[in-house]
Amino acid sequence: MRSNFHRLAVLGLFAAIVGHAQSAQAYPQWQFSTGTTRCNQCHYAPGGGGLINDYGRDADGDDLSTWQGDGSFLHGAATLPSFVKLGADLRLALAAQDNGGPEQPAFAVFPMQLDGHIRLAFEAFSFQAIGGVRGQVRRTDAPIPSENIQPENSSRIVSREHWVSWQPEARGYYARAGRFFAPFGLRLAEHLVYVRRDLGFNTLQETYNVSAGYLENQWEAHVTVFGPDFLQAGTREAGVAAYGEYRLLDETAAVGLQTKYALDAGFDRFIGGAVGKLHIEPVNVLLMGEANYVRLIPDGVTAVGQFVGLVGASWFPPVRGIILTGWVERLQGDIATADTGSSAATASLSWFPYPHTEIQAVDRVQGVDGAVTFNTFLLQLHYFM
Amino acid sequence: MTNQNPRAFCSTLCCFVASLIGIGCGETDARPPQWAFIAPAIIAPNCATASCHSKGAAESGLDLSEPDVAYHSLFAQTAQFRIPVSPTVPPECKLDKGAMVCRTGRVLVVPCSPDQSRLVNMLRGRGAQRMPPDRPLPIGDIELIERWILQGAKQNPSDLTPSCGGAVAPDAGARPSVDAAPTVDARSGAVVDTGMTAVQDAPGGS
Repeated sequence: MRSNFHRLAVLGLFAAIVGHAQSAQAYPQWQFSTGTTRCNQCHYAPGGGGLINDYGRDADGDDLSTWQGDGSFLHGAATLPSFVKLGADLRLALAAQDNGGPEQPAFAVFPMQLDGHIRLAFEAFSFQAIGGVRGQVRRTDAPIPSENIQPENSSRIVSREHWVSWQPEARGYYARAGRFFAPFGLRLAEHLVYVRRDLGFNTLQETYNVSAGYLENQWEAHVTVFGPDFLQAGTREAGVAAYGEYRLLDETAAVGLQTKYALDAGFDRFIGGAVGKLHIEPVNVLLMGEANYVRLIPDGVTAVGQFVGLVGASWFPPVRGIILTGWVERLQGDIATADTGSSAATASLSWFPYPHTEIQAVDRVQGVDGAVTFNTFLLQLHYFM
Repeated sequence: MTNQNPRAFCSTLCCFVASLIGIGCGETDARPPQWAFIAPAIIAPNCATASCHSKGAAESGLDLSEPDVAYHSLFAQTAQFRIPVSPTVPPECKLDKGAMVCRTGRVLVVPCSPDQSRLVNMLRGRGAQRMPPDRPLPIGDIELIERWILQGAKQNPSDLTPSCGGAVAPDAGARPSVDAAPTVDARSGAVVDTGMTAVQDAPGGS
C-alpha cells in the first residue's frame, strides 16, 4: 500500500505541475529594468509573451545573458526568409513537493515544455501559432472505465496560441483575433501565481478572442472580447476584458487598471483591479504589485467578494544574466469569511548563462487558512531557439 | 451613482482591506452550503484546472468543471481493479491478461456523512492523497462542503432525495461497495485500479 500511496502522490504532483507546463511567457521583470517600456519591444505579440522578435533576440545575445553570444534563431546557424520566424521552447524540470499528505514529499523529474513557434508576416498582417505537447498525466495502461466521464481532449498535441493580427507599426493601433490570453495583469511567467490561476489565466485557459488596442511608449490600452475554447475543451469563459497602462516618472514606473466580466458554467465573474510597477534605478530593483477585487456570482445563490493580489520585487545584481525575484500573494475566497484563503511566498532565481539558455530555481511556500503549510521546489532547465 | 447602504459599503471596504493583510472578517460563514455555490466557487476553480479534472482532461474520469457534470462525477463513478484469478469469477469481473478485472461502483460523497465521504478524506489528506495536490483547500471551504454533505449533499435544495436520517447514497444499493473489494494486486502489491484511485480511506474523524 505504501508504494501505491507513493505512486499516487507522484502522479498527483505530475498532474499539478506537468499538467500545468509553463507556456512561453514574457518576463515582465525586464520592463523598465532593461530600458524597455512596452512588452512588444521584445515580443511580436502586442501584449507580450511567446516568440521574441529580432530586438529581443539581440538583447538576449548582447545584454541579458552572462556570457554574450548570438541570440538569433539557431544561434545564427541558419537564415530564414524575412517573412518567417521560428522558435522553440524546451524545459526539463525537477520538482519536489510536500503538501502534508501521506507519502509526501514527492519528487519528479520530467519534461515540462516542448513547444514550437511560427510566425508568418505579410506587411501589416501576420499569423502566429504555438504548438506543443499537452501536459496530460495518465498511465497508458489505465483506461478510464466506460461508465466514467471520458476526457474530451484525447490528443496530447495542443496549440496554446494561434492568431492573426493587423499591426502596421510597433506603436499605434492593432487588432488581433484567435486564441491567446487577453492582456491583463502583471502577466508573470509562473502560471501558479494566484493572479493568474484564480483570474482565468492558468495554463491552457487561453480563450478565443477578438482584441484591439493602442500601444505607445507612455501608455497602452487593450480591449478583448473573448469566448470559450471550443476546439480543445479548455475554458468556457465568455466575456470582455480591458487593460490600460500608463507610464510615468520618466518611464520608470507604470500604473495599470483592468477589468474583466466573464460568464462561465454556473456563475458570472466580475474582476476589477490595478497593477503597479516601479523601477528603482540606483539599486536596480523593480517593485511590482497587482490587486484585484473579484465578484463571484453563482447562479441562483449568494454572490461573494474575493481578493486576489500579489506584491513582489526583482533585483538585478551587478552580474549580468541573473534575476532574483520574490513575491507574496494572497487569495481570499470570501472577503467576509475567515479561513477561506491562501497565502504564498515565492523566491525565484533565474540565471541566463548564455543566449537561449535559462536555469531557474523556484521555491514556493503556501499557507492555507486553517490547514497546512506546504512547500514546492522547482528547478528548470530551459532552452529556447 | 448613490450608495444605498453606506454601512454595508463600509463593512465590505473594511473586509477588503483586511483581506489585503491576509484575513477575512467574519467568524461565521454566511455562504450557502449548496451545490449551486460550492461547485462554481470552490470545486471548479480548485479542481477543474486544465490537466486535472477539467472537461478536456477528466483525470480519473472526473469532470468537475460544471455543476451538473461535477455532481454526476461525485456520485456515479466506477472503480476498476485487477485481482488474481480465482476459480469463480464474480459477475462484476472478467478475465483479462491473466488476471481478473473487476468493476464496482464508488461514490465519492456519502450524503449526511462527511467522515465516510472519500471527497472529504482527500480534501483533508486523511488516509488518502491530499487534493488538490498543488493547493489544498482552506479549512473554511472544506467545512462548507462538509455542511453540504451533512444536509444531504443535494444537487438542488428542493430535491427530496438524498435526505438525511437513514438515507443512503444514490445507487449505493445497486452496486457493491468498493471498500469491500480487493484493492491490491497480489503479485505486484500495486493498486491497479483505473479511472478511480482506490486507496482505502481512513476511518472517520478529523
